[in-house]
Amino acid sequence: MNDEFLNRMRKEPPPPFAGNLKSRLDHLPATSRRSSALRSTIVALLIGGVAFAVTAVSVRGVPSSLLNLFNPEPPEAAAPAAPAPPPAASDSVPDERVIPDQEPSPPAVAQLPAPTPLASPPMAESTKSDRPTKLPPGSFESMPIPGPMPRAIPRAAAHVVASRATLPFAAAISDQLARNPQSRPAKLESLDDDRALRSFCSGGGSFPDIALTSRRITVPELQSCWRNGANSVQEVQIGRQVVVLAQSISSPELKLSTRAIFLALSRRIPQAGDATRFISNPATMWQQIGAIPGYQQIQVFGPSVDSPVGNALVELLVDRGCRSFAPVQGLLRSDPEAAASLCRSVRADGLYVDSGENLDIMARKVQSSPGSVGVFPYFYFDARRDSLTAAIVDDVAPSAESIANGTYPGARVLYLYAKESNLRSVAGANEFVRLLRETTSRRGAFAEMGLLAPLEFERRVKLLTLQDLQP
Amino acid sequence: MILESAADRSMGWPRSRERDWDALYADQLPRIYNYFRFRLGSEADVEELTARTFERAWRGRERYRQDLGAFSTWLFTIAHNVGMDHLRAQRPHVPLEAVPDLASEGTPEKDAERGSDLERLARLTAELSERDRELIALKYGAALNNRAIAKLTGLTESNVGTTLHRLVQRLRERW
Repeated sequence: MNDEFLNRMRKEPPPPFAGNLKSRLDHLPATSRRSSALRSTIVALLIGGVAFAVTAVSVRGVPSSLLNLFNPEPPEAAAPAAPAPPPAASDSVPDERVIPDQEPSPPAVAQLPAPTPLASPPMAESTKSDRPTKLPPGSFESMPIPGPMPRAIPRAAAHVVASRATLPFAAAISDQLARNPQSRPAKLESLDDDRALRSFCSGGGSFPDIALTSRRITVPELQSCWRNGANSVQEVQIGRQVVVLAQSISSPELKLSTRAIFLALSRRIPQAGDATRFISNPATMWQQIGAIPGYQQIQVFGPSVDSPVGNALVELLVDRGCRSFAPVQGLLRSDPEAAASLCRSVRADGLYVDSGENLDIMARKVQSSPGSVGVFPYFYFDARRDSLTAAIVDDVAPSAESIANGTYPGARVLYLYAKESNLRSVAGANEFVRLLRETTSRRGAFAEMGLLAPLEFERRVKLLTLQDLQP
Repeated sequence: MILESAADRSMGWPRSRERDWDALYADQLPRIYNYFRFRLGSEADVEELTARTFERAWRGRERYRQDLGAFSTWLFTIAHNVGMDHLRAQRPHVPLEAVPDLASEGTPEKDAERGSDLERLARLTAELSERDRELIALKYGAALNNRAIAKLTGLTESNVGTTLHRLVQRLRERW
């Protein structure tokens, strides 16, 4: 087959392009161990389920005296334990079945230098005073007040639970630690905010050491932490993630509501006249959704919705607009997962143009396509106010002030929570926190992911009390 | 080259394997780049789509499972999706700015010749089905063998060979 005329058309990619792309990739964090974590969870559940089933079947025929062995009674009431096997001779290979009388000491952890405390706990006293000591029996708060923290189980690596919004930052830090042979990279687990905090607050030592979330912990969650033995929960802000919709500077001022953003970008929207029915998004013009007068095609250039900035667009603006519809409120209560799926899916019919990670190319597209809108991290827009103009969202323009006071809807604070005792006892936990705080405090770090460094006072570590969480 | 991740060794997690991403990049970049040139039939947007493919792959590299298939299969699946998204997003009234020209290897004459060949190919393949265009791009752009193409497209290896033979004959007649 003479196909030389086709083969000769191949050519090497231009070296500047290849070099620039490689450089970008080298700084791109791998964001997901979600699937493996999920797989592990499913496998663990399956194994657990099978084990439970087998146990349940087999114990039916077991005399109750034997079952008593497993009753949570005081040791003296329990049946005597089987005699331990004789100790192995000193010159023989150690028998792994021999159970030591004493808990094994954790040399690997104990030999590490004492970590620098995350912060001095000046509020420790007030923490104690905030906790109720006498409560009406049966009330939610009447559950046992946290006692002494269970001793943390030495682990090979810090366990970090991170929400989707914060996972890229956690992954970047973990990758950074992995490159240093002296450091211990963290084990990352991706969960949504609710689940991340629930997992974090499930207990002390053997539960996650650190949680990274895109919302603040709530009072019931903190109380749950205390009840389960995680007494000293520290909080620190790692920055604000801000997303901006911007047009060419030559475009007229664009005012959008989050509802209009949802109607323009969502895969499915409520049917006109019947908000209880959701249909594939038929809107192609801004005018159709009452966003702006005149005839202007909806054309939005943005990053992949899986990227940090794309995720912020969806979770902060699209989702918020979706929730403004009353039927969605009902769905949120009855089927939160269906509501999330409805509110967080972006249309794939070409009106939202996934434009990759190169912000310069995206900006050029916005400038060369009159009326089009680009989705940018705030830092990028802020440095180009001479060529880009930002959309006003829900009557608030993005600015340093509106971001800091929380009125701009396209911004959110990202939080880090850590258990003080785990930072001391789990190898790598303190280092992870220190590196994350150092990195996010630097101006411009993670800027391409939409992160603005926290202000000086926001960087302070708080030992959380209920008082801190009062509105 | 396959390296064991230092991270996995010390994390206490189930051990996984980490590939030599630099080597993979060097090997796969020309393939993906040329795949898009052949698929789009022009130089415009090729760099952007190539970059987007690698960025997606790099970001999701922890999800790549070696046991489920070759890396190139995984990467080309991403490239295919990126290409389809791009083609769907193309609208006649939407002027997409061409990616800025960067210095390329070879002489300007050679580039011009290749460019015109590419345009000619685009005109000829415009009459082909989506599947046939994809086969041409995978074979002559990405330089994949018939077995790899069969894996990607779900066709049998012999079907890929037969179809490509027919397609090349047809293209050569009209070249």
